Amino acid sequence: MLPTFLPLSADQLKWFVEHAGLIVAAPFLAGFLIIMGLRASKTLSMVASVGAVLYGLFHSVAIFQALVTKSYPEPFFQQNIDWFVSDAFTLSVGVLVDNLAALMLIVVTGISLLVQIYTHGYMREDPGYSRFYAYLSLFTGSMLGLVVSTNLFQMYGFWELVGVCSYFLIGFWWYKESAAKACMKAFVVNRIGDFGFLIGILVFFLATKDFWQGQTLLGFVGPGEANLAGVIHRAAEAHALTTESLFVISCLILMGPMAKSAQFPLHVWLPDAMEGPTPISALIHAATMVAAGVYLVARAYPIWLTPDGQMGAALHVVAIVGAITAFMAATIAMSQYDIKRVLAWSTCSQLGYMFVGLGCGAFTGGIFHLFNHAFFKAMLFLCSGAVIHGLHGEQDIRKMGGLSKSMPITHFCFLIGCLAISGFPIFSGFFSKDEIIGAAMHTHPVIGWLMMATAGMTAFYMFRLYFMTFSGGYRGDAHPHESPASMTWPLLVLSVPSMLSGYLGFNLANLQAAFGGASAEHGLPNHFAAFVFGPFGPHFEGCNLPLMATSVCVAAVGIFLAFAMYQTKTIHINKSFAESREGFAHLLYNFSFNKWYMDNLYFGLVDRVFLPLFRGVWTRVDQVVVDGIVHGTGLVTMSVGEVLKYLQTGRGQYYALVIFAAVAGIAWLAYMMPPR
Amino acid sequence: MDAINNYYHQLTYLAPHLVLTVGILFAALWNLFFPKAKGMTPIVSLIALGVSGFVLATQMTATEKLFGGVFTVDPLYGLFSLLSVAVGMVVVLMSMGYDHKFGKNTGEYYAILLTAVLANLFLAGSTDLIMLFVSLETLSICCVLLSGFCKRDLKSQEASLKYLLSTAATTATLLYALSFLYGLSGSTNFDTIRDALALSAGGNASFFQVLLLTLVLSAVGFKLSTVPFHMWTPDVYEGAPTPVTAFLSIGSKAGGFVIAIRLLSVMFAQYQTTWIELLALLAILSMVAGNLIATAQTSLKRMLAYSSIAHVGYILIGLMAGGDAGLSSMVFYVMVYGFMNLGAFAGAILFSNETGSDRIEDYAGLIRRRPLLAIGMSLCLLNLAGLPIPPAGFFAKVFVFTAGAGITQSFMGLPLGWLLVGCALVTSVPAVFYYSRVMITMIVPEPSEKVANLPGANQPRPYVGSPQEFPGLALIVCAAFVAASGLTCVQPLMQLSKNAVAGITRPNGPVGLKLDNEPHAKKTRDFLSLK
Repeated sequence: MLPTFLPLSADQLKWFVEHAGLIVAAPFLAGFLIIMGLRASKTLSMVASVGAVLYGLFHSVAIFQALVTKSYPEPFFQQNIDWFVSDAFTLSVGVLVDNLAALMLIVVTGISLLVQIYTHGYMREDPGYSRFYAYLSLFTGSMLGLVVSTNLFQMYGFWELVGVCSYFLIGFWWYKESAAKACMKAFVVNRIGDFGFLIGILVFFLATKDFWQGQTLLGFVGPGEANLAGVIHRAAEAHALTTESLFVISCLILMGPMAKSAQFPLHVWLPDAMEGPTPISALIHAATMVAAGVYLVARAYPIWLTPDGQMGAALHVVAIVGAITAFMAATIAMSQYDIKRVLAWSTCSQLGYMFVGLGCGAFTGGIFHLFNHAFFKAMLFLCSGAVIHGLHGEQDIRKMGGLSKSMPITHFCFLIGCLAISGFPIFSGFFSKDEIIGAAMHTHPVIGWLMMATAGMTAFYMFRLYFMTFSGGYRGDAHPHESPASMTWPLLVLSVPSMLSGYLGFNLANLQAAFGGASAEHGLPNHFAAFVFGPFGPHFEGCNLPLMATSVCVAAVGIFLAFAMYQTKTIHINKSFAESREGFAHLLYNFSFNKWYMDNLYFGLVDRVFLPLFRGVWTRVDQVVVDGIVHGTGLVTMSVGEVLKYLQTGRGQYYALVIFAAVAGIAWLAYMMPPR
Repeated sequence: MDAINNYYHQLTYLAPHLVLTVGILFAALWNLFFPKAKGMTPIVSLIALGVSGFVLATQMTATEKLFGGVFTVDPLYGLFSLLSVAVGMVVVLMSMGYDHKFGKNTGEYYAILLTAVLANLFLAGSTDLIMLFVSLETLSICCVLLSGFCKRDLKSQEASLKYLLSTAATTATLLYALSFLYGLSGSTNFDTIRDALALSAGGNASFFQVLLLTLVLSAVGFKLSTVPFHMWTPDVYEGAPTPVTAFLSIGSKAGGFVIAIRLLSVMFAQYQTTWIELLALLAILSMVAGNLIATAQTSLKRMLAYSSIAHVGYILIGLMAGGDAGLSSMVFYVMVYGFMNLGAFAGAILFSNETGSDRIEDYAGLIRRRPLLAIGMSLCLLNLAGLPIPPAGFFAKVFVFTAGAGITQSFMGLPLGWLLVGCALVTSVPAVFYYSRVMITMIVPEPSEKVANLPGANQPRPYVGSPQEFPGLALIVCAAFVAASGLTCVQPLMQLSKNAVAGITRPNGPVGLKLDNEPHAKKTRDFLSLK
């Protein structure tokens, strides 16, 4: 059975694929129009922005349908225009549509649409309402441009654009000092990552520039062998690229994804970025922009393989970075009290899962988790926004509780989200997380077990959040109320994929086969893996019953612990940890509560080492070089001034004298110069 | 009949010039008869320039020698004429916010400005000594008149007089050179002279050859205001009315660049190793002195004037590199630089018209009151500094420097290309400093007294309906051109530049040594080898 969402003919579907650039153009146009004048009217701004992204969603679905039903017979559509041409190289910008991009288009436009509708309710009272929509549109356009990028240069450009939009949006309430600082921090940390990314691209370009055979330079796909994998292969054969140099390149490029997707050690900006309005946290810092790093790794996957297309050291680095991040963020999330920061740390942790998935060769698994996570995490953030809205700006979960009565819809959706992210069976996170853990168990058992433990912690901290927020008695002093319809409807819509999207990547027949004793290595096909797959081709895993059982048990233990500690309050480990003043427990708790002291470490380094060093060096440079130049300049100016003053006594004949003297002098000098 | 038909055919290439001439006549006469409606003059000037530009654009690809080789129409001429006309239009726009200072004489002002543009057009196409001299002098006299146009202003008068004296001196040196050239070849035609010179080239340059080159270089150097022929620049730039300064900083140079290409890269092609060294000296001096002196300026106008000396130094690197890459990078640089420089001047005019000040420190906090002005100027200034935001100025520098690095000749034991590029890179540092200083002044600090007193603080479009409208338009046009050329048009502009120089670097026929000219060539050889 093939999905037919839209009643369109094959020719029409083909048209949509070949005009995918419109999806990118529409939000940019909307953003531009809002800035140029529509901002005068709140309604018009909202309509333009929502309309553009609604169109984008429609177009994306049409593209998706065209690719699924093979109405567009080619594996990809690519169209480039030359942006910069020189004898040595040509830079292009263009549109690339293939299965991976089509999937991301739907995720970005779909979530952006719901977030923009939600924004109408959330930001209604804010004086910056129209400005917010302008930024949202520009961000959506940049993100879509990133998704359809045909080459690394173009992706870098849009990468920076989404970074800039993120900067504006984190600092949207710039008059709050914490927001101003947070956007600066995000900007600086991302600069560090992007610097590595850019150097990596340049080195990669220099190493491979002779092997593109006239195809899109640094392009991801191309006809025949002129794609990334083929170029790397040819460059390696010609000894322009060795396994080691490719490893260095991939590590440099990985710095970009590490910063953008908040991976250890460049993760420090994401929790602070929660200073932005909540719709932004949902759209940018949970569902789309932070997933760009994962998307880049998947898009340029051959760079992380060895030159002959095998898994190598670079993928191990990806897996290790992801594993450290996932574990670290989960330990930190267990002790935080700010509802949005807990979610931010969980985002960090889940992005770590995706990196582990890609790093362990589970290409489909990593992308599948990205897909599922986008929906349930956006929903969780929007729920937290509804809670904050309902409590008039309160974000501390110690001052919440019992909200299930006053906010039933939000409560329902939040519960769905918690179940999904905890890997509770039948909800979406369960399937993708199992796929990743299974792959990790296979390649790096240590990482596999670490991920299993992290899954347990995830269940614990998510339900800690859930119980502290929604059950028990209300501990604050506001008057909680349910949100308006424009905020609750997006939540309800998002709860559907959070429950069901997992089945796209799971074939129930596999379960039956597994009970029948089938091996877990190969299973029956499922929709998701048949649509999105890495360079090794589609691979369908079967059901690994012991693994599944373990992960269910781990999740159940996590949920039970949270229940016992925060709902029935029968176990008091949490209190003994939090209130201990000495010993190991105290140490562990503080380590988690202070975010592994990473911020302290960085600020310490900057304050104590870098800045003094920089100041020392600069003072020297200033004294020796700059002062020298200024004094020298002063001397030159003064002497010129003296001469001019002398000449400006009205004796203009000196001007002529200088000209004649110069002619004579130069001719004489040139003649006296040593013969060539 | 064929001869007559041919003559008419050749006349069609002069259509842009004829249109401009009509515009000049109109501007000169209209105010005599209708002094009340003098607002018409600039509009008609704009129309004349526009029409002439349009005709030029349709003739861009033509290559033809007209009137017995006196005047050549080729893509190089086409591009630079178009540039001159475009610069003329921007300058007219700027002048429209400034011409109240000229009293009754606005009509003459536009007439002379159009004459200067016309002279530029003729200069760009001249391939004959007489033609070159006449058009160059027309241009110079127009510039002298224009810089003294504020008749009541002593500084303006002084500028005019000093310009006159300097231009007279270089005219003398140029004429000296031209008479030698004629004496050598017995012809005033560039091609004939080139062939005659080619026969005598080779070996070490004699003192006479060096003197001849120096004389030619002095004229070119004066037109482009390179050190040490720049003495007139600061005085004239400061004293002249600001739109005139803007015109002098790029408009009057556009023709100079073509002449430099035609004389040095074509006529003296065989003497390249010699003139490169002389020109390198001028270029290095210009880059160093221009940038260093600009650093210390407190007036924006003077800063732009001095920095234009430095920019000419960069542009000359492209000329020295020669070949497709070098000359096209030079042409690209001239185009992009022209507009960003004009944009900066338009901003300066807007500001000084409203506040009466030109001091850089008075620009403080401008973005609070005139955000568009501050942003447009910042864009131009950033590009002048060569920062890649957006990358028009950056690419221009990159192209020129890349081409320059390819010069293989050695200069006092050092590779000349690296010497030039190294010098350019080092001197770019103060350039970044003084340009970005203006930008930072406009954006960061609290508004200065002058800015704070600007009227209409909360008005969204403060210039509409006032004389400032047109300089404002000029700024927008320039900023848009700079932004567009950096973001999307690098490739088309580069292609345009390459087409323009293709006829120079790859002439249709080989550099023919005409045998029938042999006796004269022998005479030349003997003459030149005179030690």
